[in-house]
Amino acid sequence: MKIKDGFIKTEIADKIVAIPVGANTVDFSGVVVLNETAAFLWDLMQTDTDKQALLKAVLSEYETDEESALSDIDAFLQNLRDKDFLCE
Amino acid sequence: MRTICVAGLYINIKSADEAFFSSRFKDYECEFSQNPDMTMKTEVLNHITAPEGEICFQQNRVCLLKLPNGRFCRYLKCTKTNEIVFMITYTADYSNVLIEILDTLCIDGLGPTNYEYMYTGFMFANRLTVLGGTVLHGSSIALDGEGIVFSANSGTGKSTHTNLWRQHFGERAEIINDDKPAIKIEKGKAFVYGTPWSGKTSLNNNVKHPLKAVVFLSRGEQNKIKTMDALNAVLNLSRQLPNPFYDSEIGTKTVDFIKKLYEINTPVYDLECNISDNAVEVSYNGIFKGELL
Repeated sequence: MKIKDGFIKTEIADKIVAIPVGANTVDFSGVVVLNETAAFLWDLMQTDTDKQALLKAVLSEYETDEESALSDIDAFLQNLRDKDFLCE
Repeated sequence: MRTICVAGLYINIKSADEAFFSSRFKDYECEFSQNPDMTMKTEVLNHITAPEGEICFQQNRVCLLKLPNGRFCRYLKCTKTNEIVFMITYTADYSNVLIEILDTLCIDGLGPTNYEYMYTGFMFANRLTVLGGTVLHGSSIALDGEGIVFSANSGTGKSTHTNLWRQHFGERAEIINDDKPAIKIEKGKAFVYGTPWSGKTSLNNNVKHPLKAVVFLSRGEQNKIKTMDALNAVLNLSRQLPNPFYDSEIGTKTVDFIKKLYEINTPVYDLECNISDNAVEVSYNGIFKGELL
């Protein structure tokens, strides 16, 4: 799975945002606000990956336990699915 | 073919409706350029044929093709007749644009000249974006030589508000453009320019002023102005700057431009207002005197 193409992730005024460009603007005219962990996952998901790889990356990057990391990843993925930002 | 200079861009332009555009472009005409930044030509035809090319995007009646010569071609078909009603063929950097419009085109009462006006404006906006500037959807006015762009969705009351400024301040207020002013950042400072594309009105002047502020306007019972928080500013700017569905490169450039506007600390305000002289006083006091909520 990966995040759909057509978002520009950038930092503006200390906020990390992903702005839709091109064909993505047809279905979504908002701005995606990312916290630090979401931005980390967003970057990993620019290329095809899976939940296990995301979990491994989060555990090696952040001081967190597996249960919390998995819960955060699931919530993030569900959010992406709800907004139709995910290619699976 | 005439040369017009808009926001510092030299454009060689051949219009289909010469009478209409010679009047619209009059204040922007300059000496013919042998080396323009952009060339645009419009033709009104009784039949339009799509070229062969690779389909990049197709949705409803719109199709975007990449042609073997590297150019792009976007066309719209009529739902009833399946005829192509307009087609735009352009280089990837919009330096060369051909607009073809069907002579019978009439959508919501708008005919070929209206579409020629709109599409030349969109293509100019794309070219300027490629070159590092932008066009902001808004009504722009200068007060004592400082430019303000009031932006909002169509029908909110941008022009009504700038008209109130003109009534209130008289000769101190000068319209820059009533719908699509250009913005460029030069040597770390933002400037707003008049363009001949000013929406439903012909309210535009070929002028350049330092950009004092961008104000996002909404209707309200009370008049109030505050600094717009960064996220809302980014959201509103991304909606009112060029970000066409058919070209993600333009959207990418627009995101760069928003970043630059922030880096040079361009003030962005959130104005809620009604139609009154007090609305002008409140927005003026906020923008020029820092009297904010």
